[in-house]
Amino acid sequence: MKACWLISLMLVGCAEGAFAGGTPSGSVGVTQAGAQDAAHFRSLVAEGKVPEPSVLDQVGFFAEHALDQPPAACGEVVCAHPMLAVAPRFDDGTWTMAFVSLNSSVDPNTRPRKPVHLVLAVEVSAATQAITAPSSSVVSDLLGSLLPEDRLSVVAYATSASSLLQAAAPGAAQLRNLTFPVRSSDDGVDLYGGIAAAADALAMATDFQGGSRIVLVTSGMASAGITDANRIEALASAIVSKGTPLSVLGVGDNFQAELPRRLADVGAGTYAYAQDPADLVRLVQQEGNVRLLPLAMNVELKITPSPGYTVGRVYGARRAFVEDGGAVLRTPALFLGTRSGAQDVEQGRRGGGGGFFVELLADSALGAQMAPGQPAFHLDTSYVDADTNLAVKLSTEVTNQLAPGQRPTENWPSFSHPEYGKAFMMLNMYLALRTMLDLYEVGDCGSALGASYMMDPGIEEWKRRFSDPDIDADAGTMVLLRQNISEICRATPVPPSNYEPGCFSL
Amino acid sequence: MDGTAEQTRQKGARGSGARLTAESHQGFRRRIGRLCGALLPLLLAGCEGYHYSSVAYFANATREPVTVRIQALQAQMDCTHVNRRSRELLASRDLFEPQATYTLQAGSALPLELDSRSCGAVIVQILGFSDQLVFWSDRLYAHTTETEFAPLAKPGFREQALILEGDGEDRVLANGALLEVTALPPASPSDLVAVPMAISFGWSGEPPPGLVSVERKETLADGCLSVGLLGAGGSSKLFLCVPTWGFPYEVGDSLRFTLFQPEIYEYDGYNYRVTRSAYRKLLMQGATEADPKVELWVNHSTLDQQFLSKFTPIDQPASRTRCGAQTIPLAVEVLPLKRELLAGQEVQVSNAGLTTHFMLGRAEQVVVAPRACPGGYSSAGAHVDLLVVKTWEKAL
Repeated sequence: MKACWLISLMLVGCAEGAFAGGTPSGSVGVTQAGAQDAAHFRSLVAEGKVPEPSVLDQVGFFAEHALDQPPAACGEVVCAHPMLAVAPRFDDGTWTMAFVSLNSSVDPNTRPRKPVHLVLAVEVSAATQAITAPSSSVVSDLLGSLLPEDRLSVVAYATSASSLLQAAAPGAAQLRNLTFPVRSSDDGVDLYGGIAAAADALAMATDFQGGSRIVLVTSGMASAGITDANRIEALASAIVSKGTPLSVLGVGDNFQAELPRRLADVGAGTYAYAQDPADLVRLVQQEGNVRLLPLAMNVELKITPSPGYTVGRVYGARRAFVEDGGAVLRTPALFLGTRSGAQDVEQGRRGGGGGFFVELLADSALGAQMAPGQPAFHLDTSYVDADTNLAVKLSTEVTNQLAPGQRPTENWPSFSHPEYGKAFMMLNMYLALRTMLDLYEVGDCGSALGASYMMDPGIEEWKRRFSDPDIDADAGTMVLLRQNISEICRATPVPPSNYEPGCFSL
Repeated sequence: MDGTAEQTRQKGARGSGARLTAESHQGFRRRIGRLCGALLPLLLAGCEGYHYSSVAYFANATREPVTVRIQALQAQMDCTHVNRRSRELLASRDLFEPQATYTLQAGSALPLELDSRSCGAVIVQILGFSDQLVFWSDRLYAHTTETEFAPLAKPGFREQALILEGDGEDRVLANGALLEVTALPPASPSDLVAVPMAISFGWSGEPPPGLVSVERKETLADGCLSVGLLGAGGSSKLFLCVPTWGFPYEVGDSLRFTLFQPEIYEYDGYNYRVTRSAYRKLLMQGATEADPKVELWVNHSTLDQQFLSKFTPIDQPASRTRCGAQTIPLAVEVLPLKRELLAGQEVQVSNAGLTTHFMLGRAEQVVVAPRACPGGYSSAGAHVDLLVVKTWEKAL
């Protein structure tokens, strides 16, 4: 498959266990909406290139990793697991990182499969013409993945949006010859209008009982009608918060990823880029196979640093922000996803990982006066259970075995949950790759290579203690990237300085 | 490669499309200098040749070569508002992108002005020092150098240069008095602080020409209105982001739309390119003169004689949008009211059976406009939305 899967589901996969006597058992990892792999990045590296730093999508990179989590035994539909790692940096400093992952005890296969009203909103501007040509079989192939009780609406949008098909049954006669309008000029793209028309199509099907989904095909442009990205994102967010997942499929040679990425982050659906018409057909067909059940609405995670710490950088959650000194991630909904049919994710790895990393900046002066074993941060989780409509609030505190800013005595991180330390190594590998790309981008090839060589002992030490194919694969990518940089630059590796986001050292 | 500002690597060498490199900028400046030396004496007797010409410099006054990374600003600035506020408005690494790395020989100068903006900013990264945000205002004049070496004895040069002095462990940075130089702290979470969304008005969809009737009127999930219209050409949709009273028509009502969106002619040095202005106006008029009339102005940026008579920036810290733009709120004087309104404020006035309802939507001066920002945040200047609804008292 040529399509690069950039994102998949908010919550993927099946439960590890089955229902026993009506009590759910097993856990399903819940990942943030966003890119689901870093396939594009890896394919560029494999071709001998050094990608732009922005190509390495952190959410996608994390999602490629299989992360074990504690059992989802909090007694609610979604459980949050906060953890902490404190590690030495390459300089004299200390790397203090909080991490939160989510999982659920609900097995999606035990939930009844409701009919779905799927709205396909397709951009038909000049920018997407090659991929949405009249000969495209995107609609007819999608029908094969729908069930008779499902409904399909089709919206076409360019300068304005129009409805091509309203809530038709998959066997309806008008579906047979459906083609998209042809645009010769490019007077702009009304992305807001396209999404709003899709929402309209759902609202107008008043007699339909079941779930709903919107699949948006976009070049990423928003140049006509309401172009305010905040407005467009707010509309998407409002639609999702009413229980309708939004998937985003990027198309076109000049695909502009920024806005689609933001929509995908709130959309709780798939985010992928189609390289050609056949890819688009395949991706849309896969969308028909995916079932998403709302699990939790108005989800909020808040990490509040304890005395001695402040919030630093945040990774893995583009929608996070800082409020009252804490790092907050709000998302309109979490969905439980299952996919029928083939799961063709070429170049992807075991996957399913992800979470919300928050760097804690330790106040060393205050830390020197504090005893080890004090709380490092507090996690508050709240959401509305989509089934019961009841508010759920969870609260946990995580302790640092060391004082704020204190380095571990052994050259190894101090983990609050040592058995789940892989998440932090995954972040470290991301930071190492990102450091190399950033330094190369700025023309500092020697430092880019130096950063990679400095990681080698730590990776070896990690591999000595844990055997893990994901980290092995990351290390392999790093070596390839190093080779690519060496071939282009032929610089002498030197330790990087003035690079603040830094990794931890082992 | 001539000159001592040796670029370590040319950017854009990865097949991702050629980009003007810093070295190219310098080459351009040098060429201009030589051209000036060759031709301008014919026109201007006092003009001499020069090596560099720039409003701001980095100079290596140590005895050793130094590696310097330059990051270029990726945003348009409203110089008037950024002057003396660069620390507040530009101290965000997200606004800058890597430009190039140079190995600068002892005594050499590196021009920092990367293009001909009237004011400008770069981040200078030197090993062993905090990143330095360097801003120069639009009130400075360019200084020239005769060679690649920094004319450190010239006070004028020193005032407009960031100079690395001393040796070994005792190296220090001396900031030119006429530059605004800010040592950037380690990345902080300030970039993640959420800001409330500006109250922007807008519409999507193309209203059909002629008299149309309202077929359907619903509220979308985000609170905007979805209006189904039926005209001679068939059905169409209009999505309106205004308060509910901003569309005072009901299902079955007839109305006409008039759309105004000027074209802008941009000259790129070779051709004129026609684009649509971000400013748009939508007029809605009921079937008769006695029916409500609506005027919706979106992204207005200039004063006019009809409604918007004065924009006054409000003296308060700038707000940062999610895309990194910096904005200052505006108080807008609405001429018929003879008073100022703030964003989100509405006023209703009645006179001789006519009630006019005004509401100011977005009202802000974009003072830093990153290229990556969408629509109304990618260009510096005033951005104002205004809604005016006129209703006539019905005769009993």
